[in-house]
Amino acid sequence: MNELLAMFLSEARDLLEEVSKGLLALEERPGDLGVMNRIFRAMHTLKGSSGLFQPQLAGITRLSHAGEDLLDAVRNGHLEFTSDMADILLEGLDRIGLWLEEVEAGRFTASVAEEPSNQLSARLRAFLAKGRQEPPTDQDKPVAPAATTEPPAWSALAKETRQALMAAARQAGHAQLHVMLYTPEPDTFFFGTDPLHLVRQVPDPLHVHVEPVDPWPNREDFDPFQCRLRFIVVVGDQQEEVQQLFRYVENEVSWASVPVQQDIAPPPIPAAAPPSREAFLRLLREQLTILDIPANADELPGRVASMGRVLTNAIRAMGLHGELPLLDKALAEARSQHRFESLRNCILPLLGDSPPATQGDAFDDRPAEGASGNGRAAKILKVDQGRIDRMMDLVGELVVAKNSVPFLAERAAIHHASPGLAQEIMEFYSMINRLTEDLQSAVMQVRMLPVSTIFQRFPRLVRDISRKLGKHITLKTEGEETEADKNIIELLSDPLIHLVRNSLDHGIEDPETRIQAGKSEAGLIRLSSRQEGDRVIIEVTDDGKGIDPEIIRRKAWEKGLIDEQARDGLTDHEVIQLIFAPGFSTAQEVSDLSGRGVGMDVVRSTVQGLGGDVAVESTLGKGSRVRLELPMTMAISRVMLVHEGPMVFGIPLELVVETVRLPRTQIHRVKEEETTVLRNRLLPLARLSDLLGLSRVPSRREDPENESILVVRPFGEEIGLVVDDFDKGIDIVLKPLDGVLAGLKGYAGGALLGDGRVLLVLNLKELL
Amino acid sequence: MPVTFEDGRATFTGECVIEEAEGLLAWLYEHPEGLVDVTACTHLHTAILQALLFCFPHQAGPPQDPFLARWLWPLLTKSRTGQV
Repeated sequence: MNELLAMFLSEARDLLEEVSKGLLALEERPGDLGVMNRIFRAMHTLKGSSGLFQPQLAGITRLSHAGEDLLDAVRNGHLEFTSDMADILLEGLDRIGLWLEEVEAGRFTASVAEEPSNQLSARLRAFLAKGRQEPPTDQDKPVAPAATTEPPAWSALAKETRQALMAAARQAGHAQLHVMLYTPEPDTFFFGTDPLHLVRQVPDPLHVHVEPVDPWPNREDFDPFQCRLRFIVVVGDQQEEVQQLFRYVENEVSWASVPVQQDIAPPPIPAAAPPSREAFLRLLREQLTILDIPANADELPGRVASMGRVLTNAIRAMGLHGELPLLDKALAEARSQHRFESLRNCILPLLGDSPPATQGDAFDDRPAEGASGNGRAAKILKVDQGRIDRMMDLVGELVVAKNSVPFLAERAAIHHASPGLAQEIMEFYSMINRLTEDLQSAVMQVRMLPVSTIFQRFPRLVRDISRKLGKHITLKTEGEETEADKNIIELLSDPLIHLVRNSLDHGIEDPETRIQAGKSEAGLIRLSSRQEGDRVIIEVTDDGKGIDPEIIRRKAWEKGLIDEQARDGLTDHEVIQLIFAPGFSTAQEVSDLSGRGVGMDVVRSTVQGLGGDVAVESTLGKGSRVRLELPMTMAISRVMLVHEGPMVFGIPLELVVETVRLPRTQIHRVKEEETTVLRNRLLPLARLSDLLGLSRVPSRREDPENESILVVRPFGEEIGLVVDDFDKGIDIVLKPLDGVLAGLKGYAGGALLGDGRVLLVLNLKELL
Repeated sequence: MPVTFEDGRATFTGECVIEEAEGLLAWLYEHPEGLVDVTACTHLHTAILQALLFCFPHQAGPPQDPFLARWLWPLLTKSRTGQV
């Protein structure tokens, strides 16, 4: 996959996310212009970017184009935003998301997307057809007769042209003239379209006119690859034929009819309709918003020039020439002194008594920051996860390497009689040590993710499921910025989904039941997160019907999870914790979360496996709260794997000084003790098999010549640990042994290896 | 065929494609008094047309191609208002 496509995929996912979130926000606040603009722009960008990959991604382009047009109509006030629209838009987004996955996996073919994209686009455009005032461009519908005001495309033609056309039409006996206005998208060239070529193919047009859509810009702003032209084509009775010709760009084409006047005198040409006041106000508001966007010094002149042109033209178009002197003065001030107050004061009165620009009109919808976004814009880097893992590995090796330095210092002091040098080395070591620890902690920090990573999928989940169940449920989230290690965040995702679904399915009651119980019709689910010390607390709260301790009591007893004494003796609070007991969730609880059975017991075991715990509180009739408590960072330790017989153990790497293989002949035995000499020093040895009480099994390495010795310093002095073989160093999450194993000496804990095996990590201090 | 530039004259021959647009525009900026010759042109891409409408250079003569002659020639030569 080429780099451009990879970039597109990454960008596209972000855009889908943005539109998705925006649509949900828009459902709650339909008038929010800021959100509206944001999702329109995202959809527009998606359409444009996917347009670079034709014809493979034509389906995505078509679908996002339909979405963009629909959103455009909504933001222009032509259509009201409804939940039905949101449903189809979200469905479209989901589809595009699926296709993106296929593209990434290399499985995507354009033909697969063809049919669904056509269908979904049609459904989206159906909203437009219903709401449109102008005649629809649907080929089957006859073009509506012209309204009393003349179509703008017709009026754009020169008077003499119009007169000549009318005369010719009269002579030819046409009842009406059909005027096509073809306004190609600015980026149409990138789609490989040559509008002029298309227009050329119209058979015997009565007239063809080409003109720029807007007044020409300055040279610096003129981009030859942006299409700024529009085409007006007048035809007699070949309208259908021409519509066929333009079917692929039908959304860039509009038709109007002009009845052929039978009088000799040419029809009076009415003055051009004044531009809509609505558009004018919107333009002004947008200029105000632009003023709020921070810009650096070299952007300002361009911005002022562009605003100046926009405002001048807009004011002229509205016939408000009286405002021009004031505007010119304000623009001069903005240009020379970079002060925008007068410009702002120029615009504000023109807005008159239209509703003031609220926060929602700002392009940026970040509530926490001021509209001028004072420098808190977080700079985000996208980093490949593998690179972070590699950094962790390197840091681990650095930790081991630095452990040799005190040894060097000793040698300097004793063997080379340079206590001064030893001192210097130790000073150096303490600095390196500190830096290494800081580095390790910094890399750990990089692995921290905010819980919003998992929270963000819930609004959509809650919306879809509550609609499906016919319940009204609001989701509130708090504390999304709370951070925890990425491992923890990732592993929490499924349990949280399960908990929220529980509240959705079983917790919140349907509207009628709620009203009868005197509750609000809409239920509330709250996801909150906060930090307490070095723990992260996440709570899922709902105001549903709560858990009935009596039912739990009985169920648990029936399943044999508790005996009669417990059944009668446990408090209500203790009883409801039993929902986490394995065997409590029935096999009938079908989970549709990728087919895995996720019951409450899995929730608890996952959370405990991360070093945390989970508890539930509930009041019958009022609601429930599930509380997860987790460590912020995983206790990640680096261990070296060693083999002893068929078994593998882990030794904390910070205790390991070096590994060495020595010929057996170099090992001296004095009574019960074995020693060797390493670099002229006596090294006492201990055999791991003896320490662990394992019988001596032939060495795995089948090397009768040599012994593998791990030099360790659990107490500051070196000891050689004889093992069968060494293996690599790995990162593990050390978990204390509990239950029956907790009392065993010699083990620091256990860890789950990637292949599912359990690794026992040795506590050398206790063994030696 | 590509547009050829020689002695202050830009000559279009046959079909002129979008890739020519940038080069043509640069030449037009540098030669405001230059002459554009579309007589042998059979088709030009919209981007080329756009560049010509934007710069509005002197024209050597009408194109022989009927479509271009009938509909575009008037636009390339009539006086316009509104150009910056």
